[in-house]
Amino acid sequence: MRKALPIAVAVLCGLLALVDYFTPNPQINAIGARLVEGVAILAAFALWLGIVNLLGVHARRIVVGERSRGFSAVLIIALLATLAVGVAAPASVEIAWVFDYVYYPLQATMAALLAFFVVSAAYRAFKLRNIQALILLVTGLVVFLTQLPFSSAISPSLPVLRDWILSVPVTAGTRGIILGVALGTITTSLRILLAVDHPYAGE
Amino acid sequence: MQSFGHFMDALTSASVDVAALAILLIFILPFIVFTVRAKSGRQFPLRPIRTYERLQSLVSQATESGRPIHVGLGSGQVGDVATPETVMGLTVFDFVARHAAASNQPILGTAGEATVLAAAQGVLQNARREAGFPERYTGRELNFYGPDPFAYAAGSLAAFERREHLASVLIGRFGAEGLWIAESSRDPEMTQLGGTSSPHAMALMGTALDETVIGEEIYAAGAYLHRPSHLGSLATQDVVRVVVILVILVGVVMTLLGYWG
Repeated sequence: MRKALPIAVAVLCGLLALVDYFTPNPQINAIGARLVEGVAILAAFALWLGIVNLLGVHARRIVVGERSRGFSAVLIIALLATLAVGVAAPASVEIAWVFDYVYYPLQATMAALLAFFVVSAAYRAFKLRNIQALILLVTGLVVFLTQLPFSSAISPSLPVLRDWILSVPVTAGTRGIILGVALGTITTSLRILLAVDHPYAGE
Repeated sequence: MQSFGHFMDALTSASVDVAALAILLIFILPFIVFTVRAKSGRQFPLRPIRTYERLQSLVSQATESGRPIHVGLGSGQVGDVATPETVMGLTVFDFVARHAAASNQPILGTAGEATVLAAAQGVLQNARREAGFPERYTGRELNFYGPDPFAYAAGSLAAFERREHLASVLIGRFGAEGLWIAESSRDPEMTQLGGTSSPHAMALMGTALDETVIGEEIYAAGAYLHRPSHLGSLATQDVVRVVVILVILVGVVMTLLGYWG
């Protein structure tokens, strides 16, 4: 019963949502809307539980005196400050300041590091170990060279070759991958919908 | 033959729902037939996928060495478009968790989404209980770092620094943060495997990880690792793939002959 009930509810809700998508029946549409509303209400309660749990975990770290208590203190202060500003003035300059001068710069810093990671990963990928690596290196160099403003001065056929690489082999490969992913997505969804797989029941 | 072109135009332009329903119906019958066969013990031939072979040997090594395996479940959510690949991440986590639980070893899971955290907690709790060590489940082996992809990446890196890991598996919905995690946690002593379904993220992860699954291979995780029932859906995928290839070929020939397009 512990497993059967969540599986039955999940299958029923999944099938209802599917029927709701395919039929214009107002009764079924109303049930579908109620289900979506239920998910939103559950998510709101889960968010509050999450905040309370987060505060509890980090407050305990400060009380016990764990090594990372400093970070926990910063987290609690940032959380409460953002929450207070957000509730008191939801669409204000103050809440925009939090995002513009704290959140986005931190995000940009992390993203900027990616440039270095791309270089180090490309260095390993372009090592000439086999014929595939050679193809990758030559193709990469052609596309890289044609990004330069004077590439047509090196050879007028370089931009033509770049366009061909991007529109024929790259597009063909990408479409093949996307088609395969679409087939996998449908079968995985069917597995969940028909209860062959039930990740929501801890399996 | 002109009528065929009109029929296809009508099918694709009149209503998207009709096309979606037709695709779903094409899948359902072979899916049910193959899944019933797979569940009754019918064997299906599988080509080797290096990533899953290495993962199978790594879980045994983890038991011997006592060093845990990290499974990064990405920033996808259970309930949005990333659900299928996130579920496959959970399937891989289930496989690693069951091996770790059977030998009473630690494991590390990281999630960038709250719904995935809850699902992974259920998986780990179940694995520990079935192995006979329910008291070993404390919830501290699973970490959640918020839905921002880079916050998730930074949190995962911090988790790596707490102890040495035998391997890291990044499987689920990843973007550029997959490269961020893989490169910043690079260690010759730690094998890195993974995969995602986005072609662009796949290219980034392919350069950084030791082994990656490509395209639909991510959805074959269960069939290759520990869930024979997934063989049915894998066989369905292959059958429909052949149909799609035939349809593409027919379309190309008809377009070349001037009957369509």
